[in-house]
Amino acid sequence: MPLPKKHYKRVFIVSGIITLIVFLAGVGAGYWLDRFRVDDVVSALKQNELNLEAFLVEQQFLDALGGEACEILEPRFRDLSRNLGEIGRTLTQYESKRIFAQYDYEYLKARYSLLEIRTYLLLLELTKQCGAPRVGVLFFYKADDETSIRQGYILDAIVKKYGEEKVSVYSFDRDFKSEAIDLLEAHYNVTEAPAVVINNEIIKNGFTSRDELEPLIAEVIKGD
Amino acid sequence: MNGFDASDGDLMLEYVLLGVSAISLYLSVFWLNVLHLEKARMMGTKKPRQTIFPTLSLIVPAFNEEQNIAKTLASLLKLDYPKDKLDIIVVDDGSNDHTAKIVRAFKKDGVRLLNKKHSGKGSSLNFGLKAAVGELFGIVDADSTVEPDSLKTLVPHFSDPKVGAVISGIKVANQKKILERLQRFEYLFATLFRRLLTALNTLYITPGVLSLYRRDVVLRLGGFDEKNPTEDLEMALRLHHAFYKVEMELDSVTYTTVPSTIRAFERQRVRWCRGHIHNILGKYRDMFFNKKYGLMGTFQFPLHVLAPAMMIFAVCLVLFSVYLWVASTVWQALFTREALLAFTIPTIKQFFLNINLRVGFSVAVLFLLGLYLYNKAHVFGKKSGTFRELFYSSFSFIRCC
Repeated sequence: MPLPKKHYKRVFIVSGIITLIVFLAGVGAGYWLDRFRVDDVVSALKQNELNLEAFLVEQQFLDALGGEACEILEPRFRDLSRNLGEIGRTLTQYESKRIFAQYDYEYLKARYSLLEIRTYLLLLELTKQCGAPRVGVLFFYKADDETSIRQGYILDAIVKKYGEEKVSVYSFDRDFKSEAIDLLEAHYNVTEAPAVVINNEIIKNGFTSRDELEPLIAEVIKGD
Repeated sequence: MNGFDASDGDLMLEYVLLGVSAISLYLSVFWLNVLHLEKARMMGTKKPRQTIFPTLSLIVPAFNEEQNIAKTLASLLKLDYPKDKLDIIVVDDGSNDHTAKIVRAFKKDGVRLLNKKHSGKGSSLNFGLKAAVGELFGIVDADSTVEPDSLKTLVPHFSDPKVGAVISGIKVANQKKILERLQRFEYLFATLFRRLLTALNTLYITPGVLSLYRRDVVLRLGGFDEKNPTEDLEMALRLHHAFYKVEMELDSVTYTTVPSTIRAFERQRVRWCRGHIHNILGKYRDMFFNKKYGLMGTFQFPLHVLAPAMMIFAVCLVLFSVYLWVASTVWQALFTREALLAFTIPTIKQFFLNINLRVGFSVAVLFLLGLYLYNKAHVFGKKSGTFRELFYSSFSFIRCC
């Protein structure tokens, strides 16, 4: 015998309410995870900024009061670079899945870009001071651009081959509005994406194959 | 190291997945609620003892069934039903094997054999219907076997004069090959599902395995549609169209032989799909959203279109996602050596932080509900599931839509 009408009407309504609760719980859980991801990245950025400040203080200390600055500072710089690289990879993964809200995305990207620039400047200074063979590469790209993606993979492979202690890559989105990035582009005369600047000297606009890029980087590492 | 990428395709996919999972979740929760309400009636209600047994004719349409007919007839002869009230008729639809010869051996047990030219199951049923003498009549497929108490559990439903047909639960007899075992889980699930449909008076099929009908009603409605690819589905819809009820009895169990090859399986399913389209979207499309037919028109018919559409859409979505993944990951890795060299395995933290919880949560709950419904199907089918069987059931739970 079928259910009475009032029962199945109730079933429809109760099912809708339960579905809505589960659905909202999922959306809520997703939102919570998004905030967790943003907080995770912000926390990593803050830690890196703090480490950078500490590095600068230590550098000043050693300059003022003497000591084996290069022996102490080089390992510290390696850690800084590695952490920065991890933050970059995390941000790339999250952004490819459109996990961030627009305002979070712009804030984190701006903060990350500034941190990259400061770390890059530190690298140049450290290289001048300590003379250790280390290559800093500025990589200018456009998001969703096939050749930029390929160029990125080439740089990743080179870093993997030589190690992060020898090669550090700092990437900047040409489409992202930032005065600091505009300044870099103007200084190095970057006219297209992808573009690569190696150790403040060698500038390559347009896609550079691995066969062309790797010898340039290897030479810098061998040189000095 | 490539900077930030945004994908509009991924966003669209997420919205579509959210929509599909929300609808599927609603339907799963809905059926669970119906199950909850029906549970008491299904598990323990004392049924009144049947004292009046109407005359009943069982029609067995057969075409080249020499492999199975003997077992079918043997099971019919074991039925616990007054022998003077039971009439068994085999309609030989122009078989060119030994079907007729085998049936003749049962003549001494009262089995009648009718011969006709080969013209399909529908015409065989009508042929048998004309020769039937019972107040009720039943159809039994020639490759099915019935349990002795099948009829006694089905007949009491006809005490309601609005009941036009009653069907039994179906289990799979042959379970050797993987294809047969997969179908076993499907039939187990379908049995529970049909019982739930009975609760809403939206049972839309009277399978030929064992279904009982009121003879006068079917004759008045014109008998079976001989040109229809699925005359069992069509008759159920015709009964609903004439405002009769179709019910299912869980305590009545019949065993059927399912297709054991991919080819036979494909033929059967294509015929079922053709029948669904022909009847639901064609012959009885006036029942769509028609309040006159209750939930059959306002709920079941639209669901009949929505559920397969969602399943096809979901399959396309999965294939499209795989294509996107292959295109962006493997393709690049194959044609960009650098991508392959740069690949790093994500850490556990990275893996979990990359999960899309908005979609994943609903899908996870949906999966768990499906497993629960499947387990209930086993309970009502008086079998318990093992983890190995649960794995095989993964496609069955989609049918809860």
